Amino acid sequence: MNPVELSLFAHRLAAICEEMGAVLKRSAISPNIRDREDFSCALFTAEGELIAQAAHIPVHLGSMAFAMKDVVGRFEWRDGDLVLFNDPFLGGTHLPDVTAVAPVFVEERLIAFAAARAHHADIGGASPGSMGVETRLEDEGLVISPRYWFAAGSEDPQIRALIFARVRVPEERMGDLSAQRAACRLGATRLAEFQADHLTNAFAALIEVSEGYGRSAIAGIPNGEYVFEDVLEDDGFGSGPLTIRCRLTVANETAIVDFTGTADQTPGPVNCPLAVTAAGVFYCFRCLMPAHTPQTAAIFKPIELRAPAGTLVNAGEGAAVAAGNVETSQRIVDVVLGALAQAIPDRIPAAAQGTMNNVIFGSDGDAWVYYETLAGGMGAHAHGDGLSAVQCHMTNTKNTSVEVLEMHYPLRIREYALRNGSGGVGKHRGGDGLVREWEALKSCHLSLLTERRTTAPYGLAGGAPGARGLNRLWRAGTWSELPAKGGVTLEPGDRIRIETPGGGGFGKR
Amino acid sequence: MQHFYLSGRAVNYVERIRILRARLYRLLKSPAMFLGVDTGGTFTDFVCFDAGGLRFHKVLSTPDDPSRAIGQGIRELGLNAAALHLVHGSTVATNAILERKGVRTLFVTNKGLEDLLTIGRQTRPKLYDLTPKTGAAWIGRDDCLGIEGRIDANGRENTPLAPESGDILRRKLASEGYEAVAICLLFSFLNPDHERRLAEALSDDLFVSLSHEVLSEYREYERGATTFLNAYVGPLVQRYLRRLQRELAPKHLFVMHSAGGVMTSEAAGEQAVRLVLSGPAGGLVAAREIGRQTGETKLLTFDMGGTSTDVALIDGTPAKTTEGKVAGIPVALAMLDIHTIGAGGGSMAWIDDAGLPQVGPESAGARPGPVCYGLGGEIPTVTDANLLLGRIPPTARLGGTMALDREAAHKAFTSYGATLGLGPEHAAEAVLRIAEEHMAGALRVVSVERGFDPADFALLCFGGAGGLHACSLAEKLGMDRVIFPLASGAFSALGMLAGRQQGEFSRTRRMALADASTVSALSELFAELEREAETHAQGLPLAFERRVDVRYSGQGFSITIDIPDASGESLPSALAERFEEAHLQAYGHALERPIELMTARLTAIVERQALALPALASRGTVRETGRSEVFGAGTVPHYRRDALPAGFACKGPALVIEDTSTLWLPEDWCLNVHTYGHLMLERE
Repeated sequence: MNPVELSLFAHRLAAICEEMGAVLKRSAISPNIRDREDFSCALFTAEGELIAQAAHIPVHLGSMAFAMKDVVGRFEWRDGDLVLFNDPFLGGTHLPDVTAVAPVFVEERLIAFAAARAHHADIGGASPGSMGVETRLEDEGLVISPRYWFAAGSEDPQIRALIFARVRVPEERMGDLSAQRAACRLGATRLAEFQADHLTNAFAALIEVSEGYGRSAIAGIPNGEYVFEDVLEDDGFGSGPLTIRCRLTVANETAIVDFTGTADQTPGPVNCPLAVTAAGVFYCFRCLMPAHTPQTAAIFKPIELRAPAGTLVNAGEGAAVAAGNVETSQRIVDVVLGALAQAIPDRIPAAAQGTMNNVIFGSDGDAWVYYETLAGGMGAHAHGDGLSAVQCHMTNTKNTSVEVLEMHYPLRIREYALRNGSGGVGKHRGGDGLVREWEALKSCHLSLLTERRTTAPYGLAGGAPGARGLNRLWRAGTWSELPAKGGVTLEPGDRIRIETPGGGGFGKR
Repeated sequence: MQHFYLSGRAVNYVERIRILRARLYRLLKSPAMFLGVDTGGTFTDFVCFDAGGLRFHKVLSTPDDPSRAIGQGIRELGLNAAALHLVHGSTVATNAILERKGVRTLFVTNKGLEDLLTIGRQTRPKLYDLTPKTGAAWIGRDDCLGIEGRIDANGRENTPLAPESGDILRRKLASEGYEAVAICLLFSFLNPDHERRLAEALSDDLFVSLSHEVLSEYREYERGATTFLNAYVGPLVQRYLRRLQRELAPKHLFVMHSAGGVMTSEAAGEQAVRLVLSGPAGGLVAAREIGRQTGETKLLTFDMGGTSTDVALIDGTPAKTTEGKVAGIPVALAMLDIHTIGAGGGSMAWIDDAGLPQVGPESAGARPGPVCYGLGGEIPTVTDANLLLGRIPPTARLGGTMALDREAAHKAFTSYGATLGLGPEHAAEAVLRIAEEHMAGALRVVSVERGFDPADFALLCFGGAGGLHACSLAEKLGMDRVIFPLASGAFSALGMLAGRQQGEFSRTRRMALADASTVSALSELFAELEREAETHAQGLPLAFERRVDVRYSGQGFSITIDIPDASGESLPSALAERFEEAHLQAYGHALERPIELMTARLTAIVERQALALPALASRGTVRETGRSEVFGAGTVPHYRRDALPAGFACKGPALVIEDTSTLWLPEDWCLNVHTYGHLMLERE
């Protein structure tokens, strides 16, 4: 296939993924999907190799690129099938991220897969929101190993039964899952507008050419070995700090990212399945490629990932992983970028806030669950200041409007503001974090999964670190500090105040 | 909540309608002289319509004071301003936003939320950019003021407005030299009391914009941003329109708003943010009218310029959105759904790291411009490709005077093609195909993504560069009809004349469709809205359009659907059916969830004289005006568009040439000249 046809084809595939996302967003029920847009849509080859993905959530991108092959090989696919899964050790990331995948048949041949991954506000388990501090995967929520929801077009009632038996607000889940199904079907319909042979040829050609984007990105990094380490402060059960260490070896057009020296996996939920680690590494390299790069798995082929089994970054089956996806992944980015900064200091920023500040409110009694993540500061860099109060690196979800929040849940926002002066000083300033303060109007449960409360986002080239984050509880007239990770029961009138970290500064002032 | 775009906040609605009625009666009785004026970046377009028919005119724009060009045009057309019914498409609001030249504005909100506009939706603009530039903030922290007091999610006062609030506000305003104030408090769309009381504390010479008046809908960031922009540009628009009124003294001055209707200049001053699509909306209104004339009510519009391309969908009426943005800021008012992409004639061709050809979004602009302009451009563009392939004939002149350098384009594509292993012509073809894929993508966003099949539509093409690509775009999308309308070069101005004066009345009342009381409650709600509209109209004949926002319980987005002609018991089932159909069409599935009604919407339209285009003469013989080589099509004939009589027909390949644009008619397409002068293209 000639480059012109290929360029046209790559644009068309990306547009199909965007359209899938539009369908998912518009027909979803929960605020986390329809307002915060915590989802991603993608297309895969018949072998499960990522061939296109809309620019949605980076942690979804890398992990789907990494793990879909394991899933699609397990089924004898028929037209009208739809498979669901969330098992972090078999295609997934953490339990709330539920993926729907449908085969695409063209001229009666299995040609491709369409998939939609979305973060559900609850998937069962001990804590509302399924993001509590547990020690076993099975306590974190319902584990769905890849299984049919629809088989050859007919619904398996078991899924609905499971959701209704194990998950909070099950009607909302079913509505969101229907939206995911609609997105997959749309992807399949669009691909079916092409001829089967054309698709297989074009997929092969696109995979071949897209490896070039990865190679030329790495070619822009001087050969050498670069080592960097940082820590995750704790696992919610007192283990910590936990080292994450990265040795980056660049040789011409290939790179090895080796995490040997990283702490062992831990009881608390900060462990990463390998797919999440891959997502963090891929994100860093993706940032070095041009904006229009096609989102295929092949762009990452020149990168070899070495993550010893049994460590934080390649945990064994059954480990608790709720925060691996949303917290540890951010630190993985910090260490990979820290290593890259030694090689290409002009192109790499100081550390961003290094956390997603996961906040989950809910009540089993009234059956509601509310999840959000908070923005913070981005790191400063050689060419300017870091952005303030934005989602950094592995996520880019929107906030929930104060009015939407207060209309749906017994919560009131008392403050939502920039956290002035929290960015690290330097020749260029790190971005500021933000402050969000909620008041509970009814008693409810709060879970926090946060980081950078005792360690600070690093500065570079002499720039100061960003301010650490802070979690506080107002009760009976006094403020007390809450730990970075954990749960607390709130009574009416209690307030929670989260101050998110600033980004690191760059250069001496 | 109601918006009858007539007059100031200071005058009550009954009074406004009385004034309007008097104006309209005078208008309908007198021999009317209508003038549509659209201010563009380069030219100001005029379309004049009176007993003598339609006349078109163009003068160079005067960006420092757009009214000068308008005055000049009126003089050159020999019109008596005092007799004019002038409808204006203005870029004053849009330019002030894009260039950040609005007035010093204070943003007032609830205490604790002062950074509302700065935080926005807390997302970063580019996912994979590690070193993004920090843009200048729209508003500094010092220009945001938090006020103590809260309304809760049920519209009840939770914390009273602090008694000293008015004083604090006045002191702040007095010390800093503000020209405008935007006030956006939480839940003001349920209970505007606090916003009103703050406004009462302010002096009359300030421009005050209250969020519940600008946009009475939930989501504080979008409402606040819209309210802020309204205040930010309001005084400028007010001053401009007053100057226009004073200097030209037309009989009536109306302005086109972003939803494709017209409003009085007084109302436009107060609701200035409604003008952000003032000009482009004119184009869509014209498109709708051309569609009516030609019997094509389903249209995809395609307006291609040098640096960007606008597309939109018309299914009887132009589609609207409440999710528009200007310069990255949400304007959540209902406006025509115009989708813009950064691809145009000036889009530059390049080759990426993996060896794939790419086009845009970088544009050569007007300077240095495409290689063939000979102004120093070295990177080949879409325009260069069209020239090299002969779709722009070698005899074409830039701006009617300057010759284009085909040799230079050839040279640029020779080296571009060498990298791809293609000859210059094939490389140019590749560039056109890629550029057209971007444009087709934009057309898919407004059609396919909304559940419409482009094959059911005709492509209506206006703007300078569109005619070169319309047929191949249509082919790409499975469409077989293209319309190249008369006056496509002054299309927005033409649309100014066709805009209707209309009032929008809406009321939010959340009702479960399944409730027994819903039918009577809904018809009562509409009866109320109609009474309200009729009171305001005082005997003027009104036509009503009724719509209702419907959603599945729990969904964040509603679908606005027309109220079906069903009465009594059948209404709920008919509504449910329509909604499910619409949901299925838009999203591909329906849900088993309860359905609820959110907002009843009534549009009251003042009926008015229709715009009648004169029929073309159908006489004379048509001669080819030349021939030239088009790559891949051999030697093709040229026709001058202004010499083509009604009823003329020909087959492609051919070039139809106007002063400012060229239509490329490929093989397999045939052309017919419509009675009113539109070129109707059909694929065989």
